[in-house]
Amino acid sequence: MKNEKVISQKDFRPEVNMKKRSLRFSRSSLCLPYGLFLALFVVLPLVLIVFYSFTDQNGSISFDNFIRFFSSATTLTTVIISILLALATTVICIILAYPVAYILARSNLNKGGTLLMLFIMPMWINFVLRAMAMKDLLTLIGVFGFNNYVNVVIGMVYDYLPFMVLPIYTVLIKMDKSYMEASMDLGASPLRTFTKVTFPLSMPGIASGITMVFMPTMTCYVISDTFGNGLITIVGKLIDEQFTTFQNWNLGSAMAMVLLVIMLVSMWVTGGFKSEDARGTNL
Amino acid sequence: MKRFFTLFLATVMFLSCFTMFGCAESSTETGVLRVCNCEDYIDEDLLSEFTEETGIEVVYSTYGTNENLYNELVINPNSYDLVVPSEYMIEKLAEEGRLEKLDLTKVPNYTENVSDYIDGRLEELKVKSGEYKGLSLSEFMVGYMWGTMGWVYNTENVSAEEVSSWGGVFNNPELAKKITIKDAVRDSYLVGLAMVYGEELKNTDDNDVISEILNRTEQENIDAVGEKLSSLKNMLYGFEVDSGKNDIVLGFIDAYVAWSGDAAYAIDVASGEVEDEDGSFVEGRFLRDLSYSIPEEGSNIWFDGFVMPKGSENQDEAYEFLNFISRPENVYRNMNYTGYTGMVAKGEFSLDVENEDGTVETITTSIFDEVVLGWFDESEDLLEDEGVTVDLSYFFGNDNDYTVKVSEKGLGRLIAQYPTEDIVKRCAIMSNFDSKTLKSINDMWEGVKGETFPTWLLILIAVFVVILATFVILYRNKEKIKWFKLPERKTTYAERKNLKVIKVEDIK
Repeated sequence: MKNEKVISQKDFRPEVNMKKRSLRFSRSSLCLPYGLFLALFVVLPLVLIVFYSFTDQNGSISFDNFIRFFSSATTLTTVIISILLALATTVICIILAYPVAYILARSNLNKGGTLLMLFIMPMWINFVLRAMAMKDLLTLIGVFGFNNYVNVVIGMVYDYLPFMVLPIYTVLIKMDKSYMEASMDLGASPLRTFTKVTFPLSMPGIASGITMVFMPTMTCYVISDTFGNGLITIVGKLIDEQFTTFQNWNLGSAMAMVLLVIMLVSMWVTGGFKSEDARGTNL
Repeated sequence: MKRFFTLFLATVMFLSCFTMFGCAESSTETGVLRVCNCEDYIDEDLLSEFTEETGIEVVYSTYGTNENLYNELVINPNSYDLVVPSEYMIEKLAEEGRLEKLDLTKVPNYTENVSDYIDGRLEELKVKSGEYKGLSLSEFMVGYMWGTMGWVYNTENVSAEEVSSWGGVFNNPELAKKITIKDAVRDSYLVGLAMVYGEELKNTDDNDVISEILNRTEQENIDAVGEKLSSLKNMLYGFEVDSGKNDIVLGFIDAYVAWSGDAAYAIDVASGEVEDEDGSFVEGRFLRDLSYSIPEEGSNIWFDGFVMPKGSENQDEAYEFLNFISRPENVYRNMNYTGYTGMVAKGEFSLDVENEDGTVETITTSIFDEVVLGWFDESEDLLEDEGVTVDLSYFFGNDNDYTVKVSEKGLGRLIAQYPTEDIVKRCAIMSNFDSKTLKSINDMWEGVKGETFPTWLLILIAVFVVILATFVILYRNKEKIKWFKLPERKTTYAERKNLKVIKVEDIK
């Protein structure tokens, strides 16, 4: 059996090589379109943002934008409120999404992914529309309007829940069941199996869920405007106002830079889970 | 290194696209006109009719706010032949030399029919700096629509007295969380100014003085307005720009600061007089009794008009379009469609009307006859001593009788479309803020909209974050730092549980 395989591989190798030569491009050149895309729509805009954030409105180099940002108590408060709102949203999303993902992954009802499909389907509808519909629905049942911060968190959780469910579900469904079986065979209770095996192994899913929920909720001002009636300001709204109302692209870019740093920090924190805790060594 | 070279090349290629843009754009075909207008601000059937009549293809696009339009014109100056900003943005664009001066003799339909009053007010607006310094705005624009700003209120819960001033509704505790103001800094700034300098405004009748007060932008004025607006925040349901007209109809709020066209829309929807798509009237849809009031202190009056960005390549087509759109019948149709008020007042046009027996008759009519008398006249329903007679000759001219009799209730709806002369005399045009003022107003507005934690709390949070960050960094590098090592587990699971360990070799 083993020998046969080796022989057959050898037989095919020359043919593959010939095909390669006749097409005359290497695997790395296939990356060129994406490289171009990156350069045009990721690198260049970033360069522009850096440029704008370190210049003033006359185009000369200055740090005024950052000084203005960090010396204004209101701006800092807005950043803190945004982070707190995003944290609350993320935590609630994890609490709600984990059981759902777990049930979806384990349940027999979800043969063929029908149940998952039903859960993910709202994502296909425009989220502004969903936000407005949700607001009307909440008003109808009388929950809406008692605290704007609570409203905004409800709105954000509603809109971003699928982004948390999906990565956790993916990790759980791909998880090798023999780990759990081994744990049970060795005498661990179901709860212990969950806390010692399943949960640590699903950490990568939670980590990617956090990156998909935490950052967007800091800037998604459509939801904070809709659900907070414009009384809640988050960083995204501040940046938007700089670019549209106040025509100060430089300050707006500086704010975007600060946000970028916060994002990198949050990636670094969650990325740590991936490398260490995902293997379940530290829990 | 090679990869970076590729990226560099790509960047250079992209940048060269920018520099070559001008050349690429210049190959515009003849008979094309690129128009950019505010969303939902024209009867779009007119565009295809224009193409049918003249053979000129109209490439029509829309923008959200004046500032977005400005950004587009700065990034890509050659993208449109005609755009429709408001007067303060026209002022800014003219000051920066981004506009073509118009030859209004090529637009007779506008110059002959425009309301003298409106033309006079536009004449007063001068460009303050730049190459066009001293010219009046009317040389750059063909007026389109105009309007005011005021309170739309639910007459059941709000008295006319309360909305006769900007601050009145905020003194009624029953209206807490039932009021919205604009999430647009210019509009809310004016409301704030009118409240802070209310006494001064009420003591004068001179439009110049009112304009001066409502255009104050010294630091102390900005601070005072900021303080005033912040103090109103606990009374507010929220800040809005387009949800207010629905919220008041649905009853979530009782008073909201509205632009006149939105006011007309809200009042119509609430009274059920909304035309359905098939042309029939849907009556009694909501039945909320709304009205519109422009407070006594004074308010904002605004004008939107067509202007031509500098370097427009289809100027002949643009003039033809301006002449077409300024025809009285087309102005009437746009008014009918948008609910806003056109600047064209004079001129007669023919209109097909359907009689009660189903026959179609062509009548010659005018904007005053159709819009004012057709929509608002209630003289047949009112007794002689009832109602108010409104004289609109300031707008329509002195050649005829331009009075209309309306009920007290109908007056609110009428002034949303055609404010009386007394009202417009108290309305000021807001100039464009220069960039220094804009920065101060930005700080003020941020403070009004956002929360501000006290400094000690911010410092506390900063210290907490630093400590947390230090801990995380140390924890991450715990293997590298000797004194941070965690005690190693010396026992195995089996040892702790006193389980007997059987080695695999033993089984064999």
